[in-house]
Amino acid sequence: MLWISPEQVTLLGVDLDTVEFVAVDRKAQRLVTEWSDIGRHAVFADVPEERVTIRIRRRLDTSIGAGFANAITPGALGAFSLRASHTTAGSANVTVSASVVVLAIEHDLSRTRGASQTITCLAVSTDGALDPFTAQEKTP
Amino acid sequence: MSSTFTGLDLFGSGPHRFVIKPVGMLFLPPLTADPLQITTDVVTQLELAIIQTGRLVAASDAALWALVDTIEQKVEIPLKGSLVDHSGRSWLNMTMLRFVPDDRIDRGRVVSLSYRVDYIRLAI
Repeated sequence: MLWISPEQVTLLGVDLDTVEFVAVDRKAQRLVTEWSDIGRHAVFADVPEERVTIRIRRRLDTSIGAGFANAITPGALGAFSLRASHTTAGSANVTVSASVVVLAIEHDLSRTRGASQTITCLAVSTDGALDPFTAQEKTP
Repeated sequence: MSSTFTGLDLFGSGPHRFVIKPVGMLFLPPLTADPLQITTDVVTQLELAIIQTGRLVAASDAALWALVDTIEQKVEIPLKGSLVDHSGRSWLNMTMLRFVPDDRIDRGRVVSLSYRVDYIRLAI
């Protein structure tokens, strides 16, 4: 899932402005595969462990000080939420939320794109069975 | 075709494979037992051992435990009979001595459990 220029993004109680995009990636953390004695091809595959990561990239127009660094730091656990609306008439507004652990806060500076910050988080489930990520669409 | 043991399809819920352990004689190479042992000491004939590895697959935890319970009942007797693999090859008078489940149940699209089974043709 990908949201470009979402209206509002909040992470661990901090409102993040100038967000360029938020991406939710799902990958197999553990893959089980089995082969048989009959031939060379796999006969079974499953993903019993999945990793859901949330990447938030935003443009930085000003320097970021220690206040932000103290609030959002690797290992910190908290709530992530996002609200996005579509410009197309009749399309839904989306509110997504997740409980996350911050994995990384990285910065980049380029002459053409300016300064940017990428925050990567791991979404965590309450019990392991429930999807850690919830999205609600509200049609106007 | 599905493999069977004593005519029972205990492991047909998921994929599994068979491998035969070393056959021949059990022996002690020189100098194993004591410094004066200068020749190979042949002890006895090895018992035929077959290892089965695979995965039990079920739609739910309860269904998986039902499969495990059935196997547990057979292995605790222990069950003795013919082992037939996927290609129809048969080994007579095998005893299912041990069922070793993996250290975790995998819950993904389905509920599954990796395992190992030891079959031995007991000499006594």
